[in-house]
Amino acid sequence: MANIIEIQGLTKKYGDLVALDDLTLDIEEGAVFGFIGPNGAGKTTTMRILTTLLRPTGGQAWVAGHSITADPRGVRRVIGYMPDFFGVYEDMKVWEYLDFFAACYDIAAATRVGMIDDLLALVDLGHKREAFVESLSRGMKQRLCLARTLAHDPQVLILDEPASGLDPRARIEMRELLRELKLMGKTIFFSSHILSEVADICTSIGIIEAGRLVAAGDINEMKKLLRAHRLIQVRVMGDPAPLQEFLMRHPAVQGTLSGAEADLPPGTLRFDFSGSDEGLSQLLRDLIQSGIPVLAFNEEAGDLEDVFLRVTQGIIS
Amino acid sequence: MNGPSWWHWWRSLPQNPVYLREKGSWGKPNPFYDKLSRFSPFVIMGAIIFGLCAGASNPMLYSGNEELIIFWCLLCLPGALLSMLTIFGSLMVPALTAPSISMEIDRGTWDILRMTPQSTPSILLAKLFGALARLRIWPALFALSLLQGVMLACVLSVFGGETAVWGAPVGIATMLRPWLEVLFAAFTGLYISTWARSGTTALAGSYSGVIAFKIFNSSSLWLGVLGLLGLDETALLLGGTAGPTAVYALATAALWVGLVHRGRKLSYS
Repeated sequence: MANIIEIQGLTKKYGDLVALDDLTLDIEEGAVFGFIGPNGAGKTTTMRILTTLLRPTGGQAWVAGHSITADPRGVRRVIGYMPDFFGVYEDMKVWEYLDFFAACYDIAAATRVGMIDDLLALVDLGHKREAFVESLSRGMKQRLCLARTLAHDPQVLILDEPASGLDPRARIEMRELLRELKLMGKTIFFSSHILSEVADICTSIGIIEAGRLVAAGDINEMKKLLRAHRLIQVRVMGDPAPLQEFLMRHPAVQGTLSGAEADLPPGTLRFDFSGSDEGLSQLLRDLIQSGIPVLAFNEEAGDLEDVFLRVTQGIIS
Repeated sequence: MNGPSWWHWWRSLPQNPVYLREKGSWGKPNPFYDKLSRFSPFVIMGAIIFGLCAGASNPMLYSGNEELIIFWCLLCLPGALLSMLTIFGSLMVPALTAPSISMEIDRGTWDILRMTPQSTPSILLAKLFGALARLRIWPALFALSLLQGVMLACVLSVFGGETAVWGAPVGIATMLRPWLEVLFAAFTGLYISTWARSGTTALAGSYSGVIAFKIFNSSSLWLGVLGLLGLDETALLLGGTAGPTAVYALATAALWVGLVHRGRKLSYS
């Protein structure tokens, strides 16, 4: 599939501060791309540059073939953006809010009537059509804001922390909504701190730290990457010191944590193993042959949280 | 926007959603103006008092020419009405323009608005004209300024003696001044609005600027200063009428340039 977002060496500097450092990234059409990183990593800066709200210091990006610097109005027509601090006009009714923004996108008045009903049905706010925006809950406002981003039927949705500040129910509703948009063929580029949600719905991810993209790719590939750095737990009978000594000599073991350090049961060690299934099996054989009384030997299931933690600690790159 | 597209923009202004929103077609965009409108009887009373005072100062312009003073009774009525209307407009218009951008920034809708295909200069102008359209003084302002300007020009040209030659310029300056004063107040509000982060701050800044300018660029002050310098009748007449008008024109033009500059800056902020 063709890339709908192409980012080449994007850099943003504020004086001496480098907010974004030579970011290069491609996102395929129809992908749901989860952009994750600690606070201040450069996620919002990237999104604001892609939405043409901020001018990059260097580099270039294209959205659906439109250059963000040479053709910002072209970019604005193909994207829908929901900022993290989403604003709404509280003095308007729900339908008026959508009507106003649809008018800003030059959608004819006759078309707008049906379109507003469709959008409200999509975000499940049809029953609030005549309500004032100020009377909506935060979750409803967030959904209304999402409906607003869809008013001009954009190809790409850029959503900055779409689920932040929402209660669990509203969060689930938002996730379902994003799934529905994915089925509608929209390309979704969104940032989130809730990694389980990113893992649930996205097809690819990018991890950014201190303005640099430290990992990016298909979500399954990222998990495979994690498999090359698997976390193993071993529980032995009695003192784990001989086990620790043995593991520290093993070339595929990169670091051990005792039970107390890693909040594990007594006699348990956790270590980072970089090797294949065969290598792991051989390690267990070696442990038993060297007379270490192994009670349990298991691998921790890796999730996106692990990928994130390891990448941002510089373990995976 | 280049030349022809400006013309196209102007012609499509009545359909411009930002303009219509500012006029009140979608919701109530400006709580400050609504609040001020509730106190508009007091604003009107203030405008009447200050307008009468300003109107009464007219004879100072004709000092030394008794024939002209006779016409004071004729000129003072539209003059006072025009002053009242100008003061009312100058006091109401910052409440319309000052919150227009600052409130968008404050409630986080500015970025969303900028994301639409409407360009930033277009948004600024649509907001300016939308705000001005809510002020329903324009037909009266047009009629009174025209009447006052033409009457003054005619009276000066016929009975002005040595100053008769300056009748037309003085008439034009008198005609333009109320418009420039109200536009200056509107531009000040909008310009400060692009810097302020809250509607209240923008309002405070705008009113300070407008009132200070009104005090320090009044005809009376000009006449006083020119009188102290010992200048002749003609200089007093020109200074008292064209001086404040020219200063308002320059200040309004400077604000326009500033707004264009801010519009470009705000396109990427």
